[in-house]
Amino acid sequence: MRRAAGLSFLIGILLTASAFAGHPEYLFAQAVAKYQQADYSAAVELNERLLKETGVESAAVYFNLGNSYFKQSKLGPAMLNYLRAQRLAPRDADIKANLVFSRQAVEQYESEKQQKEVSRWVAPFMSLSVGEFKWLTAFVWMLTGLIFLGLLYGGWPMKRVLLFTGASLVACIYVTAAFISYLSDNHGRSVAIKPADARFEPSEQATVYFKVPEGAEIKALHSNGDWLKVQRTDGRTGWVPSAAVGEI
Amino acid sequence: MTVTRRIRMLFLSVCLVLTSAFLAVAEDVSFDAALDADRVVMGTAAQLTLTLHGSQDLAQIALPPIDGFEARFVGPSTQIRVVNGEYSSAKSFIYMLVPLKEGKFTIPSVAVQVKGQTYQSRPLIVEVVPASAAPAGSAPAAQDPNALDSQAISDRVQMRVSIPKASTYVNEEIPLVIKLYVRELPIQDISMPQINQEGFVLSEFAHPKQYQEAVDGKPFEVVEFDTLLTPTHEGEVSIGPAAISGNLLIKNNVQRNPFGGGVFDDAFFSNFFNSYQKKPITITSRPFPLKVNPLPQDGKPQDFSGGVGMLAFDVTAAPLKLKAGDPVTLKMTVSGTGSLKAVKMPDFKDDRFKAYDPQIKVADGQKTLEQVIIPLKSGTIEIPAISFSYFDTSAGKYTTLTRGPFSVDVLPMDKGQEFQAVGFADRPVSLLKENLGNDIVFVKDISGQLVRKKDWAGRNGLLLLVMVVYLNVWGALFGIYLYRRKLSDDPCFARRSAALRLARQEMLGLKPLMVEGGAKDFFAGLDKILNSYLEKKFNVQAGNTEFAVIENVLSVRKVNNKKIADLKLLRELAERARFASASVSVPEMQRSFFDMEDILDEIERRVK
Repeated sequence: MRRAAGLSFLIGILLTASAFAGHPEYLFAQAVAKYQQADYSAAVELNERLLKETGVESAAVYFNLGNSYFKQSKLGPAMLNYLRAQRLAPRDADIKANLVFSRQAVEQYESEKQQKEVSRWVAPFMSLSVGEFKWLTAFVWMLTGLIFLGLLYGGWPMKRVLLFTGASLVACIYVTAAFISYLSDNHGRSVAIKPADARFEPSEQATVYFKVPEGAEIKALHSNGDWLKVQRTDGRTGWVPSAAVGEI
Repeated sequence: MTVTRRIRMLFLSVCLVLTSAFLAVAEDVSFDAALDADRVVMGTAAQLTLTLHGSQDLAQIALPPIDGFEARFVGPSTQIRVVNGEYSSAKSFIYMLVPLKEGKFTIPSVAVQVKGQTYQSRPLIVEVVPASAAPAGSAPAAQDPNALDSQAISDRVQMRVSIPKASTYVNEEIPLVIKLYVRELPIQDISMPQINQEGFVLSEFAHPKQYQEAVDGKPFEVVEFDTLLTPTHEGEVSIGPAAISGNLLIKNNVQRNPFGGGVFDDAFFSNFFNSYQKKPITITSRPFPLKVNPLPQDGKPQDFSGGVGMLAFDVTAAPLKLKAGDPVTLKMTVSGTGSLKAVKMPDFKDDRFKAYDPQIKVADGQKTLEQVIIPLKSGTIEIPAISFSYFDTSAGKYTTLTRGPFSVDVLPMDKGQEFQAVGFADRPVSLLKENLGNDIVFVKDISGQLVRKKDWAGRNGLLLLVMVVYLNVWGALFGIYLYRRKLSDDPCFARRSAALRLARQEMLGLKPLMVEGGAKDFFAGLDKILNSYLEKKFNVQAGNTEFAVIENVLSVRKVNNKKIADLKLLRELAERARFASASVSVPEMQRSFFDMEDILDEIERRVK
């Protein structure tokens, strides 16, 4: 009787463990534990599993994954995951600090002096994630519509209604333009996950134009087979193998 | 000369050159060497010309080492000649041979490869003789590539190197003057003197001076190059030979052009063939011996600054009366003759003062050190004497110069001033230097909000739903507003809109009349409702609802003809029941009621 009870308890534990094994929170906790034990490769594996198998993501997962890669001296994947984390949580101080620290380790060539400035439209909204920015844009439009209706039902003269609504519309157009610019700036944002030669043509035989150091932030423009046309911050473009680039 | 004629001549010239190039293919190839003189005076240079005839296919020559000479490549030269249709070409490589010792030497055979064939020049014998007539410290020498008499050129071009003394010390800075004397020779493109700096270093040459000077009663144009020489090793050092290169202008003395008239008698070609030619020339000096003595070890002070020469040292401190916390500027100056760059300025260290990093600069023949020091106590504090040791070359011994001490009166701070925030940064508070660590921030132990991965555009179902609902509500509210506004602004629209609703309400009141014997009242009510409806719907005045008018309107609005006929029948039935007291059964009343409803529906559908 006691043996049967022990067996059923063990089966229960195993079933419970197997039920939780693929759960994102479980994988996350396991990855943190491995990191604390300085088993960084296992931490990387668990976090990658979490992202791949469960199909969910969070800033904390990317942040921890970036840390695990960084501890393994893999600067490119570390930068990629820090930037992915920042995409989801742009105001997180820890992410910002690790990004600044990692960027110091990324090689930069003297010729690449001209850094692309953030578009003026976007600058006031840089601390928003894409989701927040989207809600803000929708909210501004809804607010404008409500103001319009409120003024109409409030019995305001049509001239005044149009004046106030016009002003609100200007704000809507500004926020929308900023949102489009924000999406455009972030579209194709990528990181070199390993050093690569940017060539004039998508071919190994083509002349090397410039070197893309590991961890460099670049923009993917379009692909051609196994090659990707990238643009670095000073505007120079070249073809690199797709495997060397990870999109944020 | 007309433009047409010029073009024609140019065309002919081009044809001639192309033809010549074609002929060159069949030209014989040979290679030889030539010296401008078989006897060279020590301190002068000879010109070695290696010429390849009949081909231009030679980029460079690997000249073997030549015993007794230092070879310097001057440059290549190409010659193309067409005489009476005969084409010949040659490419020459010119070297300046500077003799290193006296005696008889052989210029070895030089081999070159042209189109797979090897060609060799013949060996040449040359004798180097001493320059017994030349004055000490100078050795005029010039190489004339035009094969002029070497001695004649030497009379017109001379170079002299001079230093003020023949013996010096290591690290002592002494002036070096190189003078180029030129008489009745046009020389251009004069370079800065080149000199092997083994055992000494030269400062940058100052801007050359140019003036006239008489030598042996003959006027010379003089170009003077001044610099400073600093020996770096002890022992015998050879200054030179120094070399200056330039271009000698030689006028082509051609009376007629070599092509013998015709189109080449033109002024254009005459000017071309009679132009000046630049021939490279190198003037060298004789080596000048200099004895370099080591600095003595005896009596060498521990704080020896490395300064060698005749130096002066001065120290100032200001202000000497100040309040606690105020700075004193300590200024040390080393000036005089000597290598100031090598001088190490004295260090100031004293626990009673907080010393900031000094600012050191060399300018205007002196080296200065400025240092801000702040007394850490109030009262009279002494800045200790500061010493500077150097090697005095005039006395041949080490000298130590001491300046100071300086007494500083430090007044206490005014009452209450100690606690003022203003000027706090200037107060001599000793802060420990902190080195902050730098590493990544530790991992997060809370996963945060785990959400489904999205693309950059961020498709969001909730947002889409909110927007759809919002737009619908907004549209409805806006529609209601417009409808209400029209109702209030347009009475006709208001009547038309209310027609059906009122008719239906009133028809409900007819239902109790649909009983046996109630036909008269029922049809009276029905007729009244119908007229009222038609008046409102078609905006006609009361009493203007004759069937003919209504039929016309309904036909125009494409109301079903059957319904129009039903309407006609209904009105006739109503009139008969009302005025002829015709008996109408209850089913007929009910059918009339439903017909009425159908007619109203049809009109509503057709007439908006």
